[in-house]
Amino acid sequence: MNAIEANETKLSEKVEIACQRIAPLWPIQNLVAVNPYFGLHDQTFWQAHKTLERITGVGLCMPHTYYREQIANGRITRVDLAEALKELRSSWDVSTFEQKLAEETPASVTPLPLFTDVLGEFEHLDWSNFVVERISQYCAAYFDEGQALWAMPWREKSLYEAWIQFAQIDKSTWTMGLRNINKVLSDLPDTAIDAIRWALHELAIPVAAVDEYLYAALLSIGGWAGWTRYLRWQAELRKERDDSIRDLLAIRLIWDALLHKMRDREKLHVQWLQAMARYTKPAISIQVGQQISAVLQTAFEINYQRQLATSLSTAKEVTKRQERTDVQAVFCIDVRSEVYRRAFETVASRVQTFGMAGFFGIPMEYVPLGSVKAKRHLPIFSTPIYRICEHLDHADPSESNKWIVQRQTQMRVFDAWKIFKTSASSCFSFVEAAGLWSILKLISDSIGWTRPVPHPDRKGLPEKIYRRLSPRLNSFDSAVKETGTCMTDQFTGIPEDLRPTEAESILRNMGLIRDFARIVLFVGHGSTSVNNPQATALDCGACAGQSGEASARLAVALLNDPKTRRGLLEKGILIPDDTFFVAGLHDTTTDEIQLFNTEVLPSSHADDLVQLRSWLDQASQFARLERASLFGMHDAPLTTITADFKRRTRDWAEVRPEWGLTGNAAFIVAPRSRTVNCNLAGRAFLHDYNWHDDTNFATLQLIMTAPMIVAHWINMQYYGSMVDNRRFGSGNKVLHNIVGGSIGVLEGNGGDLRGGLALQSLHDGKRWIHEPMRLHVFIEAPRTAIDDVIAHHLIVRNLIENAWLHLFQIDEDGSIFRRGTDKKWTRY
Amino acid sequence: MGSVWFSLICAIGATGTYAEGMVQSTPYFSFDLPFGLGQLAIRTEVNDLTVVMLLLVAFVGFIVARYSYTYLDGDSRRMYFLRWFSLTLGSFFTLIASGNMWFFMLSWIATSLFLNKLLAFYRDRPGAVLATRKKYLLDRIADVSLFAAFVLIVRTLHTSQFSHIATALTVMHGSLPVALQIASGLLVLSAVLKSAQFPFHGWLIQVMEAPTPVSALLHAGIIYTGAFLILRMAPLLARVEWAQGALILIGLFALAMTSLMMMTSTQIKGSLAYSTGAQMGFMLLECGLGLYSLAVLHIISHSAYKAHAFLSSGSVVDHYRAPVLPHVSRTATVWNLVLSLLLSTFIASGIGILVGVHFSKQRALIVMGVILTVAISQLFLQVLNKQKIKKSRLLLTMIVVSLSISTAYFGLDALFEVLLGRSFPAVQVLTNTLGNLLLGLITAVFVGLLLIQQMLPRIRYYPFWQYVYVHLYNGLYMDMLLTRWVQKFGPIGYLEFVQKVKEGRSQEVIS
Repeated sequence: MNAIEANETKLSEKVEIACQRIAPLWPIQNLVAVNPYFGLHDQTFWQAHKTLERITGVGLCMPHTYYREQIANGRITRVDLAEALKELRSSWDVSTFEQKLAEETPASVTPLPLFTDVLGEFEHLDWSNFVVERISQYCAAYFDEGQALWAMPWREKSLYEAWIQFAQIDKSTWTMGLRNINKVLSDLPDTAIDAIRWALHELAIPVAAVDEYLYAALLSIGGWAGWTRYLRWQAELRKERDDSIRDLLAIRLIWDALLHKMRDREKLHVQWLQAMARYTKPAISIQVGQQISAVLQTAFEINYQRQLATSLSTAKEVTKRQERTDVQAVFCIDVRSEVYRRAFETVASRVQTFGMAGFFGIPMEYVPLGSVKAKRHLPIFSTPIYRICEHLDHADPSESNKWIVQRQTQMRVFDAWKIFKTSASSCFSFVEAAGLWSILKLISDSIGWTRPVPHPDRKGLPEKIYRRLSPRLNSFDSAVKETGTCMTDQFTGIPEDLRPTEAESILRNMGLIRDFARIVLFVGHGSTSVNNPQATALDCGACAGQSGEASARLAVALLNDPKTRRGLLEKGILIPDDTFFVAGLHDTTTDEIQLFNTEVLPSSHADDLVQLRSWLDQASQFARLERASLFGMHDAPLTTITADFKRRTRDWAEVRPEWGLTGNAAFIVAPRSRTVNCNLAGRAFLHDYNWHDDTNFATLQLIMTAPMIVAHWINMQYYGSMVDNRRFGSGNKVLHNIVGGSIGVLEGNGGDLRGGLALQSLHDGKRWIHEPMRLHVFIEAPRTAIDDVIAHHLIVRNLIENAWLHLFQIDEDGSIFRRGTDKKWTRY
Repeated sequence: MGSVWFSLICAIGATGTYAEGMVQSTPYFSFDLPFGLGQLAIRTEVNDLTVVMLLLVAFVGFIVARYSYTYLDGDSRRMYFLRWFSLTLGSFFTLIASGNMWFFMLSWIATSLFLNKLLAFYRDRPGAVLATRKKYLLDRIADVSLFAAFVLIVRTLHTSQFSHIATALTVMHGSLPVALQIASGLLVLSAVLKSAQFPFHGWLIQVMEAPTPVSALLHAGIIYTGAFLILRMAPLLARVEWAQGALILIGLFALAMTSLMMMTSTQIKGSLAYSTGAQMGFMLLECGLGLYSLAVLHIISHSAYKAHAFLSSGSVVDHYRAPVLPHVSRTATVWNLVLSLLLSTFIASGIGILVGVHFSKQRALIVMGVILTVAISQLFLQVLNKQKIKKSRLLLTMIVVSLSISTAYFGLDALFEVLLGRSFPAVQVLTNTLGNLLLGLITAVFVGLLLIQQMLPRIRYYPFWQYVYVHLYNGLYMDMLLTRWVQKFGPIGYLEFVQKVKEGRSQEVIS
């Protein structure tokens, strides 16, 4: 290999590394929480803090004023500070630290500049903004999913090739006083990687600075970089490859190089060299213990840790009941379930609740009635195994068929009407003939009688038909297959021979394998809001940003299936004949629970059902009362609260339908008996787990590699959105402007694509409702077993050993151990 | 909030009294102006137009204010917002109700200044400041132009009352004096500037930098300031043929350009804003054709439609969450085009005749009929172009839909003619060759738009249309040039912003 070739591979490796640093951004139709720092996991938390601070000016901490407030209101005490200093091995003591904090003016960290930044300063013209604007506009056109009726003509080409075509016609640089750029554009290399090389050469970026420059360039257009990273993620799931992100990087760098080439001035050149020097100058390394922000953030987390640990270890041990429980209810691990489970257990003493990921372990994709496309209905890391179709209960093939055809026809008419409304030649007549109709719509949408547009799940179907829809466990008869949309030859439903295995893993993963109650309730969750671009962010993340209803109903159908039960018996799990599984949906906006297949219950269970419903009603009220305080309704009567929560589900102007997972800070893997007497204030994900039942710790491994990572992603989404909302959050919700159909939102008129959460989801106008802290994971299992999982899984190891989350172990006797970054366990 | 409730109740009350037959013009205060400029009077002009507009604005204002109250929950400046919102709405009310030109002018300026407070609600957003400044500068040009027009009119006709213009004009025969001709031109200019017509449309597209309700208020109300001026001045403008012609041409050009830009827009709010620009062009076109009551219908319908569209713009994502329909390949053929045009001509003209439109007498209405025909052919084409799918049921639905549309269209037109016809001068169609040319041109533009859209799947790959696409997507650069121009009036604030970011204080910028 000669030197040039070595260079070659080196550059593409560098490019690859920079691209992998970017976290994917899911579209708003499935707004799944993503850890924005996902690509920095090979660094420790505090290294990543430095990296980001150096490049963007904002690291992983809040401004000092935030922590000062926490000190003032007692959320950070001197004890916490002392602990933090010890933990970070600081040479300071608390008084020294306090003195430093008092003296210190906020250190100004200037982000590393790109060429456009230097040029902007030189010419007093915001070139960086202009470039981001141009790229963002271009990407919106290239990736548009249907907003524009006139689609961009080069979408079959790669992002880079299409851009060259687009840019050669685009005259916007001309308005900025830049002439003849086409000469440069037509000389550009054919491939993105060569273009990157050309640009780096043109800008004379020293080899030592390349890594950071590439990363800084991608971060400057971070929203679209996230989108292209998502496309790559999806392609990889299909075992394909997508290089849009590399093309995007090339485009961003070409802008720099292009401007550099056109603006060749001596003084500018000097400034540029100075800027470059900052890249090559190594970062000033201050030991973590001497960084004020790091100490403050650590102390802030320690305060919560101590409360939580104390609460867990002093909670009264619950003695195991002898008699059979009336109802067992399984909820999603979501922090919102914690509030509800506590309420439910309070109103009904002989009730047992469980927590597991809200897709109930069934790896499925779901085909809505009349649709030709399956929606993934499982965590984003997993690949679906089953294709489940939505079907019409108690319908013969001809009836199903009739409704499918009707739905499709209605939707086609709806689409045609939409085009009629928005076409250049017809929108005028539309307004005069049908615009007045909007007066009625304005009134009824405003009051909340109607939704601005039909709900996607029931679009084109009358209410009575919608109520009969459910997921289908069995495959279709061939007759229906022909007519319906599940018409591929692929098998749909769960095959009978796989059912016992599937059922067993569901039950084992949630730790429910004996002592079944007469009614076992599986509760998925979903949120209700209207006119909310980020609505799916409030739905179940384990169901890929959708309601958990289908998963719960399918799991229940599976476990009520007599053949499955027979198979389970062979696997040593006996479900009594008088045990029935019922599915429910927890509406997290109103805290109401809707029950579905209650018709499976025989008359002998009628009283149980009545009892259950009344408990659920009471529990819902309790849960609402608790959540009301976050909305500032501490003293309001229950009826006011209920009415207000109802309003939030249908008020089209509501920017905070609910608080979602705000406040999340802990993930507890233990039997419910460990936490049942703790008030975890809706801040903890609860996963039921009893290690005594977990032979060879397969379940533990699953929990640590899947739900724990999902919880961590959610936790970091909130963290990033709060710490650096400008880059990892989506800004002000009242300015949201949906781009590309369902790609995402812009804030206001333009700028970069925005991911993450809006400020309204974190802050109530007076104070931050969320508290940015890393996830505190508590696992009740032998330490060696935990260590074993860590040793075998790189992703888990990175998270724990690079301190992206805090890991604790709960011992049999309730004492708590903490795993340090030195990999050693110490008693907490 | 209270003030908005109050205004809605007042407007409903006013309509009630008006319906009872209390037609009067009440001066509350008047003040003589020097230099033969007549009087400045707070005088309400109560006529059909006033009442209809008041009702509309009060209704939309009420809905939008109610929305804002919830929408801005938690914003420390919510009350500030609502205060300026009420003031803007209030001054727009006085503009509508004013019977005196000078008082109209004061309200005109006040509305613009108050609205600016809302547009720049987020003062730290450079984009918001930039758009506001563009609007500010264009509005001041419109002010000067309006002032000059009023001076000319008042000095020539010796009245500063809108209601007296028509009478004052009846004594003049033949073509009007130069002063009035110039005044007409200035009025058209003011209206065009206020209506954000291409190429002055940039700020309208950028007001997304303000909270959604501001866009709703603007697009559903304030943007009609210019159109309203034309309606108030209809007696004068109807006498100046070239001014009418100018309105038609400007409107037609703007609507063609802006509606094509709308088709390329990839943002929901951007596309809604372009649509407003186009709709305003269409309305100016109707005014130019002398179809005043139709223009009022357009204002009302569009106002309600656009307010709803903006307020519900967050719902567009639901469309993409719905089930995915089986793919249907489409091919546009000439035969389908001819067939659907025939079908829609049959339906539109049939309904038109049934409703009692005399196409032979109202030549401007023929144009409207053609536009309607082109529009509903769009519905048929969507069905006919689909391949390998049972079309009978869809086609039947489309026939029903287009029958209803045509009925609604002509029905409403007739209704508004009855309601408002007496407020406006009789339709004077451009009868000369030039007039015929204009009518032909309008038809050609609409058919052209239809053709372009039909052919797009194929022609968009041709180099020429690639050029057209990129330039349209960039708004033909008019706004970028305007941006550079207004930046000359001082820094926009991004430098402070950049400074903050550079000093590592970007966290402050957001909170």
